Amino acid sequence: MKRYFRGFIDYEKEEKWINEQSQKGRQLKKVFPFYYGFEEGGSEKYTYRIVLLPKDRQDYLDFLESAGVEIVCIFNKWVYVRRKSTEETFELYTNYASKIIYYKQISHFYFYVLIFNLVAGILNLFLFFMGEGEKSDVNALSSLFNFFVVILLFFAFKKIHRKKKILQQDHGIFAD
Amino acid sequence: MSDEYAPLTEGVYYILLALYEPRHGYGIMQFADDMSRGRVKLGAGTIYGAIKSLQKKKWIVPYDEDGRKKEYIITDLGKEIVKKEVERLKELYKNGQHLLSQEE
Repeated sequence: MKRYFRGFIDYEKEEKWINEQSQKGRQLKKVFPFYYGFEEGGSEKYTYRIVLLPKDRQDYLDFLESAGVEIVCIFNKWVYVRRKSTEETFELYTNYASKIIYYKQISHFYFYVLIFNLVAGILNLFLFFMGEGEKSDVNALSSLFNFFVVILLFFAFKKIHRKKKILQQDHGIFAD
Repeated sequence: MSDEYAPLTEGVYYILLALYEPRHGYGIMQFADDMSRGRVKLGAGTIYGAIKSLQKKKWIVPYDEDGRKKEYIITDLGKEIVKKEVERLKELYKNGQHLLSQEE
């Protein structure tokens, strides 16, 4: 088992990194906050996808399995799935309409987490100014962390939002 | 009746055709792939979303829910929609063919 300690905000960057690991013979097995566990050895190569789960998650997961998708692990609202690499690319969303809906769900997710961190950051900053001593230092650090995450989320949100907009423009001209 | 739905997307069209026999996710994917000779590749997420909305419209229903691998089948209403869509496609095809034959 090869362990990595890392964190990602942008799920596309995370996905790219996991797929690079797979090419190097390290297959993802476990995901916890800031932790990735890979299994080494084995010649099989896989394509991994990170998918935001909809509300009816169990139904969705069962369906993915019935469609030949292997569920690797679930972390919070995200599921890590894979399929053996072939010449065909492995995509879960293959037409304009479903991609647009999917990107909309992701941008909403980023947006809510961003607002949460923004509020937490302001609250921590407020506690820092109100408090004294070591305890308020913790608030200051938490606040900094919250604002840092807000910035990262903002860029991730903008990226997905732009992708969605481009798809919507194309969709208007060339409907599926 | 079906005018408000037409035209169907390629994905929905092939899903409906696939469900003239009960099929689950992978079966639908394979069907679309085979029928279109590899041209139409449907992702699992796309099929899932389509199946949910087709169920809401009552064009398809779950078939024999044993185990977690759910199968679906087309309804009479769904078949009606397919018939109308094929008529529409015939018109498109005929007009296209007609114009092409004049060109030659």
